[in-house]
Amino acid sequence: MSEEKRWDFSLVLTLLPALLFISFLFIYPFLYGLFLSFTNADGNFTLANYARFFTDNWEFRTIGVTLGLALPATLINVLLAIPFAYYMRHGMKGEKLITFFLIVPITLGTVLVAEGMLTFMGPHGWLNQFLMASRIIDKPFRFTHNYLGVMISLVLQGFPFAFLMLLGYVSGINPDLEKAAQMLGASKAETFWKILFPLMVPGIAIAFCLNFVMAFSVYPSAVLLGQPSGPTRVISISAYQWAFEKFDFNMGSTVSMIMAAIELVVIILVFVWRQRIYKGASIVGKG
Amino acid sequence: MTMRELKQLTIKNLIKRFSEKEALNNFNLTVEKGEFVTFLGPSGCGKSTALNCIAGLLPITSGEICVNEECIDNGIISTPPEKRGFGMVFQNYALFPHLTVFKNVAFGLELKKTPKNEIQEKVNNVLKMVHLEGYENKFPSQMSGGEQQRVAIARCIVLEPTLLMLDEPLSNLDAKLRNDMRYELKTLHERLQVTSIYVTHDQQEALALSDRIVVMKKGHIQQVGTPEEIYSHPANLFVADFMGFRNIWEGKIEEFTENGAETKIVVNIGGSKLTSHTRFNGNSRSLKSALEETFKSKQAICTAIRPEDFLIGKGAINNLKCRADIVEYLGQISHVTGVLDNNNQADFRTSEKITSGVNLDLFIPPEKLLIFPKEGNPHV
Repeated sequence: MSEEKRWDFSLVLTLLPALLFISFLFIYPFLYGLFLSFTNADGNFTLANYARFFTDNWEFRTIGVTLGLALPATLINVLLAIPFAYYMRHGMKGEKLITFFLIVPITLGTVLVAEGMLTFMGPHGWLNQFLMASRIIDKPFRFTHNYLGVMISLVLQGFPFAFLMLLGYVSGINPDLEKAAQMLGASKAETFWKILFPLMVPGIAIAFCLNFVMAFSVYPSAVLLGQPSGPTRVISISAYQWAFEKFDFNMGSTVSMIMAAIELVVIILVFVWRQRIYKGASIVGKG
Repeated sequence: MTMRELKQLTIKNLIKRFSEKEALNNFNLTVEKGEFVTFLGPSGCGKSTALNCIAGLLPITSGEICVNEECIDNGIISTPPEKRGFGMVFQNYALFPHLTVFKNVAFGLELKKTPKNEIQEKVNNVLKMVHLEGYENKFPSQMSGGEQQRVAIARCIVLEPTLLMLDEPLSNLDAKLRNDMRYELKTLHERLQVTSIYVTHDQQEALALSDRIVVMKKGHIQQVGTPEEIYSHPANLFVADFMGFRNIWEGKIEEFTENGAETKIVVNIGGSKLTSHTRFNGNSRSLKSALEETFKSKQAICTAIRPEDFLIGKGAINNLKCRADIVEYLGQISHVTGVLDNNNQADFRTSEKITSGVNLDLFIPPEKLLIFPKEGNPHV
């Protein structure tokens, strides 16, 4: 046994490319950004950048704006994905086709979806024309260039992601557990709430976190489908403007660090929730 | 509608179809209170399907399932599984991984809104019964397979089900543990006297545990009988083959004579003449008339002999010459595979020392030689 504990140098070498990659492309830029956020243009230590962000309402409110988009969008995506994943857990007819249509918005990318939405949902788009022709509305409804537009795009892109993640998770739960619960006297609803849901919690937590991080760093759809100069001026727009419009990299880094900190707080909260509900050692496993 | 007592479970003409495939065909069975009945057969024979239909986990295509004359399922009206009051133990245990042993066992009681102190008492008692005191706060993933299966059994019997169903409960355990658990199941059944249906593909388990065995093949019941009947008087070639009659040879009947209670049949197997003395009675009468029919129409038959029924040396009749090819040492005895002078393969067991390549004389006691009509021969 003692031999196995000795470092195998050739194995460490195989790790090297990955370590180099992470160091140069993630750890170094991150630490450099952290350093920048605590310095001024002359390179001296300062907290002024943070003070500036939190005292300037135009900047500070981006946190609220971004959370106001990201949290509801994530909640919608995940809460909608749970029943869909539940009903499709044993597979169903046309599952491949449904999955295909769900994957399309992810693969096309945000910009193409945004462009499509602009034409389809615009004032003269098919959607408005259809709604007017069927006399549901009498003048074009504004789906785009506002909060709603960004929200729709976040759901279009986030829901399939959350659904596919949860589906993978639920279909991995041993189907005999449901049968066992039923045989012990549980109704369908009791089986869901007492067995399946608790077992889905780790999956829900991960889907929520990834979806939230994606939605929180929303940029293209906030610019293309929202009002980047006001109601949908999200935090990533602020970071971009500081860094590449005002060329204040220190301030730009500060905004990014604040962004990262908020994401971290939300993720920690989600995992605290997960821990409270799901205490089991491991999921399913060999049963 | 939860039955407080099960006097009789009746299954009438049960048919289960999966799209076009017939998984169960005309399944008829009556299980009496306290009986231990085993569904035995190879994989795909429909034994688990039958169990799931009785449990209500699978909708039946047609037929009737009744408890004490009261219909609980006829394909149209079906009592849901949670209302049937049956218990089920699964092959993979199906313990809830996010709940402790205590919570797993208490699950059904909590659903019934049993008072807390009563739950505590019942769970403690049942855990004691399956020798798992002190495991209350463990999670299933922290336990061995045998322990997990005991939790699964405890979880069922704590609810005092009117019918206990066990779906291959031992097949995920290693050989030694399987024997221990088999013994525990037997003890438990003798103690609780709960009506049980057990599904397995292992004839040893079936013989050791059951009051009655239902042998199945491709959705059809082949034979229903006590372990002794199934073991000594298989109803057809399939059952014989499944119950360990390894030597199945094809031939024709040359003589069919009744000698009082005994029937003497002489068969020709590739030139060797073999004689069988059989006492047909009760259930095996239909086999006798089938053989008589085969004799008259000169159709092919198959003989069946267990490896342990051969004797080495020369007898009065049924002598064969054999060349031993493969000798497997099994401790007390050896299992020998050889070729007979009529070119059939012979599998036999002996306590004598035999080396491969040697020629020897074998004979078969005439009462050990079984004969069946050929149709349904699993090897052909």
